[in-house]
Amino acid sequence: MTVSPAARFELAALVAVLAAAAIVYTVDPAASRLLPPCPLHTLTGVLCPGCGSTRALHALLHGRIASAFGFNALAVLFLPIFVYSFASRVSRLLRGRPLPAPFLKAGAIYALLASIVIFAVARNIPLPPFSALAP
Amino acid sequence: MICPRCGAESPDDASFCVECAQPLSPVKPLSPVKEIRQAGQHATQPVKSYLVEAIVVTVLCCLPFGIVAIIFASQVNSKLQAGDYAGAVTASQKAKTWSIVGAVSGAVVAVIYGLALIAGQSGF
Repeated sequence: MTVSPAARFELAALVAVLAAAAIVYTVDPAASRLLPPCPLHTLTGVLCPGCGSTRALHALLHGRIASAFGFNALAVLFLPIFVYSFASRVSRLLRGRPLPAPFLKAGAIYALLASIVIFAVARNIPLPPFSALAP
Repeated sequence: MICPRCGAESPDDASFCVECAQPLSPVKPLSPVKEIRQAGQHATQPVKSYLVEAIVVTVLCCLPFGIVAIIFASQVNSKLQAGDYAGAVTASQKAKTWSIVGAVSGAVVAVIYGLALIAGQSGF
């Protein structure tokens, strides 16, 4: 069986994602220096839309759903998309075709983009209710 | 090789049909048809929008590059809907490029940051 370089790269990337998930499961990002905090936040104090996502994933993998939402609600909401995309890539690698994907109209994609930008802005406002979005 | 005139089978390396002496071209007469069919298949091939990749880049590391990638991802789908296949392919390539730019610049920053942390801890 011949494996194309692209497929080999894809396989390596998928294994790397699994390995990263295993590390995030094992290591508590809040307590360990192995998973350092976001450089942007350390340098500027600004919270990016991804801040808290490692802690959220760690909490989620340990079944603490409410706590995961508290760290990064956006990452938790988007996680099913990432998991499905991962499954689709595994399917393409094993069966030669991806999983069926919905066709998103441009408007839906702009709505996704707007939700990310609004989330990024809102979680930096240090007043309730917006401060609930900060990790 | 099948003779296009009488349908008799000749050896593959034959220059003329063994039955009717029709000149046999080594280039298969079917090839233009095949090319057209391949072009047709190409046109119905799905065009990747790289939307998930763009979202990952936007959320996890590089908001500015990720936003550009998401905008091109939306153009892929709007152009596909408008029937502009070539435009969708171009937008798809741009969405891919900007996702990669974002991911690579994020990785570079992460490496520099990691080295800075190690240097800071070891007192350099």
